[in-house]
Amino acid sequence: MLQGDIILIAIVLVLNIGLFILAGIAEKFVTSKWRVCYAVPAVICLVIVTFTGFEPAMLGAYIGALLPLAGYLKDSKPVRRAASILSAAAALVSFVLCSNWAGYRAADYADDFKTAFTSMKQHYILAEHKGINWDELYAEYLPKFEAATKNHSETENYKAWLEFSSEFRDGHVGYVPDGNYEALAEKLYNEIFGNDYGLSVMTLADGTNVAVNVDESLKAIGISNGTIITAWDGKNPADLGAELTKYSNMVFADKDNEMFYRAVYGSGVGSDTVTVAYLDKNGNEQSAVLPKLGSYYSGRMKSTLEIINGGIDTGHLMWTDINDKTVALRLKLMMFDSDSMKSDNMDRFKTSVLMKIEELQQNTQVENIILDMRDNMGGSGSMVQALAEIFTPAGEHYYCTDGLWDAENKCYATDPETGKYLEGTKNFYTGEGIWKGQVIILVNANSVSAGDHTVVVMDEFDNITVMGFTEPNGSAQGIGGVYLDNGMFQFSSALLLDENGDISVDSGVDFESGDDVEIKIPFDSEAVTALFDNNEDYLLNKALEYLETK
Amino acid sequence: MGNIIKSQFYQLKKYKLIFFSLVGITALLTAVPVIFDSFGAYEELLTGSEYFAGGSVLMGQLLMAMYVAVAVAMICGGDFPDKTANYELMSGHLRRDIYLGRAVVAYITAVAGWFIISFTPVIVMTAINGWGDDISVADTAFRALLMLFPLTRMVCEFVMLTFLIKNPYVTMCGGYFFIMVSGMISETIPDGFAFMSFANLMKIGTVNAWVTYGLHDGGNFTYAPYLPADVIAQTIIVSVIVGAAALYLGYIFFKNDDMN
Repeated sequence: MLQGDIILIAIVLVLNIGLFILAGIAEKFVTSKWRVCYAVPAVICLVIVTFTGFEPAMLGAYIGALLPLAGYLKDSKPVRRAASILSAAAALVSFVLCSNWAGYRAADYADDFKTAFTSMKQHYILAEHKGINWDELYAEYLPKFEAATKNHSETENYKAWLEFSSEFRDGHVGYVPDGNYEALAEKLYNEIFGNDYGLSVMTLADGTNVAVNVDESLKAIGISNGTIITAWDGKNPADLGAELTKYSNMVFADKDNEMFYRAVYGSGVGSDTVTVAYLDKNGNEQSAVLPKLGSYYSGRMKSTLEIINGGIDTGHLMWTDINDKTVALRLKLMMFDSDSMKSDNMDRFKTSVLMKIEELQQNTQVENIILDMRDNMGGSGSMVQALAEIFTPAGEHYYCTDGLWDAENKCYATDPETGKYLEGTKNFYTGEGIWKGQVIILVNANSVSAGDHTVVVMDEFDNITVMGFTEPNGSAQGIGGVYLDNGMFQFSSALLLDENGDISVDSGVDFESGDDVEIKIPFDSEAVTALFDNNEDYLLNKALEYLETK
Repeated sequence: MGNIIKSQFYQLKKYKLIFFSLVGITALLTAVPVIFDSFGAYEELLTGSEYFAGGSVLMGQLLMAMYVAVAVAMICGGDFPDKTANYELMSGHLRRDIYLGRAVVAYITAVAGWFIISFTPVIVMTAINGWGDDISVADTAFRALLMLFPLTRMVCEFVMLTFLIKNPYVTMCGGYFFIMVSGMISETIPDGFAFMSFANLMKIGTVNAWVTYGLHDGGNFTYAPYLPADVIAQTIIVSVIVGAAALYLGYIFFKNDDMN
């Protein structure tokens, strides 16, 4: 039960005991002032309900708070005592009802969906670009939220939101539930992603599915990291995963990224057992019936993704010496501190990087800097600009173009004939050519938003190379959001265009985003061995290999 | 009751505190945006609609609520310390007439003052920079009309409080405390805004805004002028019930009070 409701019921009970006694005292010591005491429960109830909100199951408690007003209106001991008894009884009935009724303080998820949908339909800037059919989406998803409301199920609600968000193929579209949503997500993902059978499956660059992150128990039957998996209960695990990638906590905005991870997502599909077909060391096809070991998401899927996606194990904005010639700067966000976020002034960030660069140039042989932006969750465009100013050659360079705002119609202006967004302010920055050496930017599919911006802004220069197993996420528009009763929903609402006046980065109906890596590191058997057998940072090693050639 | 109402209106002249509160608060809330606007402190011209939709009307809500507390406390409670109300009883007036007569005058004074304080800056900014297009006049008028309900309820609550305490200055202190606490918590109240008159006023006075921005631009505001039906319904229903109850409970107390 809600704390406020418990407090209200307790207060009503205690006060009515007091008022019951007071009725006798008031009869002996006559004054009209006693009646004020019989209004106290009602006033307290009003104050508490202000904080807790109205709840039908608490009607008994509300009545219990209001009934003593009979003692206010009527200066009579029998009336006052009867009111106190009835009030206490009503409050107790409320307590029992609230404690046992599933509908107590039940969330209205359908109402939240309608609120978010209305807002998104009005403000989402990529609807045409992505070919969104609002009516179809509404008809498909409203019943899911209504079912979640009827079943009082927060997991059904969250699941429906994940499905709805994935329809947009936009990394900026997402729902965050109130409260401890990590626990909720864990619970839901364990339901969705099935069972841990002792391995995950990844698709190599050549299309072969291989086992990764294999449990020791499977080595006895010849399955280890790199073992080729030919079927999963008779099916391609990547195909099984195709239906599950929509539940990723980072919406896939590019089809290549989505396909990269499909097999991992499908590696929990099955019942109490799963029949896995694989090639043994001699290349002969074998089959094994693997029992479930537990939940796949908590058990293995999370760790598999962490191994594939993980960056240098250090804090945000921390420098790491890699070797005599190379240092790395870990960028988990495009944020520096709260002051700079408020003021949008990144001078202090820039100064901190410049000081480090000066130290490197004066005191070391360092020639290369790796900007590790794997799992970079985005942030400030000003920080992207500050970073670009340091590492790009001297001169004016293009960043992006704002959409043209139509102040009269309160929307972004479009060409009446073509429907294309019109260009507003073009944004440039001035590269200062401070760092003369090589720069490698490491990304993955979770490098999103300002992470995407960094790639788009910086990858055209000879001294900067973007590398990764996959492209960055592919979601670069500005974000807006709406607060709901049970969470928050965000989506792309601030328009950014490229030099050609087209939508910057974000994929359209073709599911192909507009930013890419210069060097896509193949996820092959060598990568599997390095990552899962040797616990190496394979991408970092590949970056170092590349730098040796420069 | 008519004579009591007339005499209370006549007595308003001697309540300088009400007059100075009204004029002072109105002048302050009008001067601030005019001065800021003249110095170019706002990114764009502050039109009348921007002033209302942007929430500037809400900035002075604490002061406006204090004005209501002052007006009601002085009108309803001003005649108790000097026993004027006792003399009215002795001269044959009904307690009902004494109570309602003062309540009517307090209501008219408080509500009129509230709208003068709230909308003088809007009118002045409109005269200087035009109405603008952030929110229509009709939507603004609708919200102003809806504000009458929690405002009426607030007046009824202060009337009840004044007749309970029978000291205008103690009532003003109590009102000040209530308003300060309401002001501090009103933004944190998720669903129960309708149960606190001050929070209800803030809710109606807040026009939801959507902001879009360029890479380095400040922001383009789009205001959503409509109020959800449940907000309107809760405002009206709760305000009517609680306001009527407060007025009635205040009367019951006064009716049975020994007036010492």
